[in-house]
Amino acid sequence: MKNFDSNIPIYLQVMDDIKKQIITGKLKPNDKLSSVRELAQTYAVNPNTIQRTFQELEKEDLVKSERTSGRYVCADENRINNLRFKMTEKVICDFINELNELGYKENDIPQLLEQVKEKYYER
Amino acid sequence: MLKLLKFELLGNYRSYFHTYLFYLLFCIIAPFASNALQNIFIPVLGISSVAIMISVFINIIVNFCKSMFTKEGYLSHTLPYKGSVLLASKFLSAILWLCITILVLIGGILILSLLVTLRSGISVKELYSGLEMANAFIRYEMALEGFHEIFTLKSMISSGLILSLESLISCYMLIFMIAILVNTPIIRSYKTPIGIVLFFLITMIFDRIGIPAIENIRLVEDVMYNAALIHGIQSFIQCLICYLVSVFVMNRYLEIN
Amino acid sequence: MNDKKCIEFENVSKSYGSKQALSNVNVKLETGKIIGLLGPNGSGKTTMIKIINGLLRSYQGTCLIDGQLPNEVSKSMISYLPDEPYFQEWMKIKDALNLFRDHYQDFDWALCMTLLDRLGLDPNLKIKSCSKGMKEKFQLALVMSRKAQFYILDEPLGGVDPAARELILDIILKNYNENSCLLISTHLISDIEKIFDEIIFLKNGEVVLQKNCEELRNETGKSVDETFREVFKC
Repeated sequence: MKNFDSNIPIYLQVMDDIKKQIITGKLKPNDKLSSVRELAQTYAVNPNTIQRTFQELEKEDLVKSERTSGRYVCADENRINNLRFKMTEKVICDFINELNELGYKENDIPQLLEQVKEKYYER
Repeated sequence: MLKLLKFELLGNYRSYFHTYLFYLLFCIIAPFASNALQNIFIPVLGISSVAIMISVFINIIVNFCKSMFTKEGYLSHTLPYKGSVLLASKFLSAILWLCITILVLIGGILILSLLVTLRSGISVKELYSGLEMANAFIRYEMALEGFHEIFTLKSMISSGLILSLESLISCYMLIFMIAILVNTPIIRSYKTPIGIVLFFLITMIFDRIGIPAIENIRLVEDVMYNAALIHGIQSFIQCLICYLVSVFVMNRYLEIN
Repeated sequence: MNDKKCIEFENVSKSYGSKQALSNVNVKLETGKIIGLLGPNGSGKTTMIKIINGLLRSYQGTCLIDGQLPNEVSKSMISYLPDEPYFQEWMKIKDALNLFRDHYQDFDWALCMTLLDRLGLDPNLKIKSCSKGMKEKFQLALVMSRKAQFYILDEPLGGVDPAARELILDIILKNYNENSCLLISTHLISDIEKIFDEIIFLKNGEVVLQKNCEELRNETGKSVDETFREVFKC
């Protein structure tokens, strides 16, 4: 993920990326996260940004830190599922808002979805 | 300090190395050339010795200015050394190059004379006794003239060398000081003319103060050595003053662009 | 535990004749941060950097590095990358490494060779035969191989092509010690703004902004690059 949008705080974007990894299972419960230094290099951002990311993830209880051994993904399946749902909600709301801006109403959406799915996704 | 000197010497030797080499090669080859060429070689030797002295003198100053005030100054001045140590190392390396040059020049002539004498069949022993005779002759002549002081060829040559060496050295320190003064914002325009004027002005001031003070001091028997020693002390004091002023100005007003 | 050292500018002003290069600059550069010194040409960035490095001695105000005036001790704490190469042309890259090893205690020879390898530079090359980009890369390798408290990089991405810029940023991040301060002066903001903690905007010798980047993004909703263009609109 090298192309961050510089208009939005970077730590939020890194958080997003890690959250997605947790949701999709790339980072499983109790998996150890890479160190601040390593992540800073991977994402090509300031190490303090990663620190902030970790702090915020800890605040949201998605990550816990063991003093000597590092940071681990939380083990609570429910919390992860909630996160997945919340993020999905947001994507869908944004999607509906954009379609509204194009002039469509909520009722038009199922039909639009079918059309696009047939055209581009069913192969 | 040693490391700084190494840095200085390594940085500068390319300016001089080739000149020395050519000169020495010339000294070695010349005795074996034909007699017709000999007539050309002698003036060439004389001129080239002078030319080498002058070019080395100028080169040392140019290298000093380059390493202190141009882009290379960024390197010199960001090395973790005090300004006084940096300046001292440049000064010492200048003296070193001066001594090396003199050694090379004299060495060349010695080699030349040795080769000439060997080639013409005179043995080294005969050469030496010839020199001894010259020495005694000079002594005799001087005594005839009423100089009851002791002159020897040896003392004349070595004191002459010492005198020229220390004058050159104090001259360098003075030039360095002026170079520093001229390159700081104290003097913003007309740098070269002011530099030249300052050079003569300060030399005159030093002499005015120096000469009456030391005219009648006698430290050693031999007049020549005495003169060399006294002037040596005077030069040393001059060097010290120039050095201290340089360090002060450098630490307060340095500006590199 | 971790002594935070800093470079402090207190009411520093400097004028060259009628031009005011710096006027009343008050900044604090702390270790543990990557700070961007941003401003157009002639805004005083180079003057500030020269003062920190002891290349400029006459100015008003004080500049203290870990509590001392710029001297030989502060010079050993600072690793400086100038915007132009400062080595003599006859030198080979290896000679420059030897020079750094001789004079700086904190120079890591092995690390430097590794970096040179990553950057595709042969230590036996003569500096004379290097292109501008190669010279920049080589100087960067030298500077980042020192374990200094302060790294001052003047236009590290200047003559470098876009493909190599990522590599250089990676090298900077990899060798950046969290206990040191990295001060980067640059024009190419969009490439590099992600790694800054703080930025300082210099306009006509005055500090117009010194702020944490993420705060700035939060408050303005714009990137540092955009904010820069606004602040320095001609």
